[in-house]
Amino acid sequence: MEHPVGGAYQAGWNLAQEFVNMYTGMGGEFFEAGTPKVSINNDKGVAALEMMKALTAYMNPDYLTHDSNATSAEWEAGNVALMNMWGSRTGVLLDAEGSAPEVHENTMVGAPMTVGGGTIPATTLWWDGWTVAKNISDADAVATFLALKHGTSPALLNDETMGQAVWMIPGYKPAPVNAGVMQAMAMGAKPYPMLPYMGLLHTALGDNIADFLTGKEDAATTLADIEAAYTAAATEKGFLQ
Amino acid sequence: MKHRTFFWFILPSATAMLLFIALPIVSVLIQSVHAPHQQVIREVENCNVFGCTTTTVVDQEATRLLREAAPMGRFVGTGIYTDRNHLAISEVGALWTKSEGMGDFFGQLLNLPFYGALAFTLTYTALVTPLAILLGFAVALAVNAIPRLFRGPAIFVSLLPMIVTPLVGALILFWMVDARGILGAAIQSLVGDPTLSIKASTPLMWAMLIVYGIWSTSPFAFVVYYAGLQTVPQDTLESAMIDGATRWQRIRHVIFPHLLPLTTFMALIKIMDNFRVFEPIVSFNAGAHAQSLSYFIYSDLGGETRLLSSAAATSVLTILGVVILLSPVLVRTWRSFGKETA
Repeated sequence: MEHPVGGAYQAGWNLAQEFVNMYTGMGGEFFEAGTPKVSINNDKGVAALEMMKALTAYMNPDYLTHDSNATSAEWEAGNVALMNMWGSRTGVLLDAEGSAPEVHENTMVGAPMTVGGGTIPATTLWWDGWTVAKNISDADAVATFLALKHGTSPALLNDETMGQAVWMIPGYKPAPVNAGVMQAMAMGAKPYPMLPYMGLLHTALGDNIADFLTGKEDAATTLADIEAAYTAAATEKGFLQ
Repeated sequence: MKHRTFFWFILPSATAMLLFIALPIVSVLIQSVHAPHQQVIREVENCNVFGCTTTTVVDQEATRLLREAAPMGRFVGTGIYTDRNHLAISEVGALWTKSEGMGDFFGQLLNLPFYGALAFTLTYTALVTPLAILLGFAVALAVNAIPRLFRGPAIFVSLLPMIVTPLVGALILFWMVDARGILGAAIQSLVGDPTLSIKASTPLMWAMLIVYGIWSTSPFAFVVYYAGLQTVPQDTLESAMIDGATRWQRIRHVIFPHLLPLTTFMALIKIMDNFRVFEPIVSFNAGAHAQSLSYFIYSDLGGETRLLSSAAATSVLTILGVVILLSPVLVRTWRSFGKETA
């Protein structure tokens, strides 16, 4: 096999997410504590980028055009043997549809890996919750609340729904398809940084990391570019003075 | 025409232009000199199923009060135009003073997002516009020369690239030039390099986008020229033939001058279209190698956090770019118009 490693490295959102995972695994913090000031231009940022570039040496040369769907298709086609992939995609990979029997039978989901001697895995946890809008009548709000509460209650759990998501409700028994997510949680993986200005940094990451991976510039320049792009956007948006 | 008649004649189109062209431009201009208010940020303790952490949130209530007091947002003047993600005035100034020589200066300038995108946009416009028009002209001449019986099918086939939806056409080509696709593999065996990948190389990706641009826009030139060819005066052509003019001489001295106004018209339209190049970059997943001004507007409006003022500023800069590019053609048209009436 020529290019054994797969990854959702498409320039833009996917690539930025890979950096967020890797940098988190390195133990990096994205912002100065309690402020919207970005702080990724450090040793951990450089190490995260270097690790990503080292991995790309084992990937299909077109990795910058492969998003999570294309990477899943590469897996099902039997073109890659190892990949760090989103938990939400494992359902597609583990069902018999779309892949050759020998690929399907040998597909296994395991725990995410740590990086650079870190203690937590190089991944981020994503979770969904629900809220009730403020600008509706009290009666509607109560009805919405009750409906959503029922929709996420233990009563909902059955053989079919168990495998569809990782339900954080009592009585949930993990299906094999969710083994990776459960192990990530057991290993102490961090949730994706839910900060109001994180989206701006995610966009700046996605726009600039490719310059480093293609060898146009070194890691420190790329990180400085990302910080500058984020700072301009966060200033416009009113997060930074 | 009487002034009164002229007024009623022009009123519907003037109203439509005001509503759909002038007002949106004014709105974009106003948007581009305003930015959202300073966000009121608070530190809070955030507890979820993974434990408790101290984190920051936007104080929605305080920010809402600010917004209600001044719904337009902060007036920032040209602040957004000059920031690093647009014209980057202070960054360019700093580069100018500390760069070693012109090569170094331009290399670093192209690393700034706006100038990098401008470089691709201008290269694309400068190559696709003339080449697509030339190809369209050549196809029109060829189709016009074949027997009438075959012209219908020939016209249909020549128009196909324009009939296919741009996003779909680009996506089909994207898979064909994949290293395992029919075109990609053919190119690999032609140059004898089995590791060659168009999608992994910036120069090849640019070439691919430009080839796609020519392929998809030449049918427009073809259809306009083909219509124009039907109006070429047969008398002039015949007398040229009697004088012993070759086919090339007839094209050069009779057909080409006759079609010149059409060429000006197409150059205007195509420069405007090509400067707004967008779909192929999305379809070819070319964001890592090529970006354009329209691509920036798209990512500002569709990003994780919408940057409306940034998108507005880029839109105004795009309009200015189109005006600058069109000005030579417009001035020329204006001059020749003056001559004819004089």
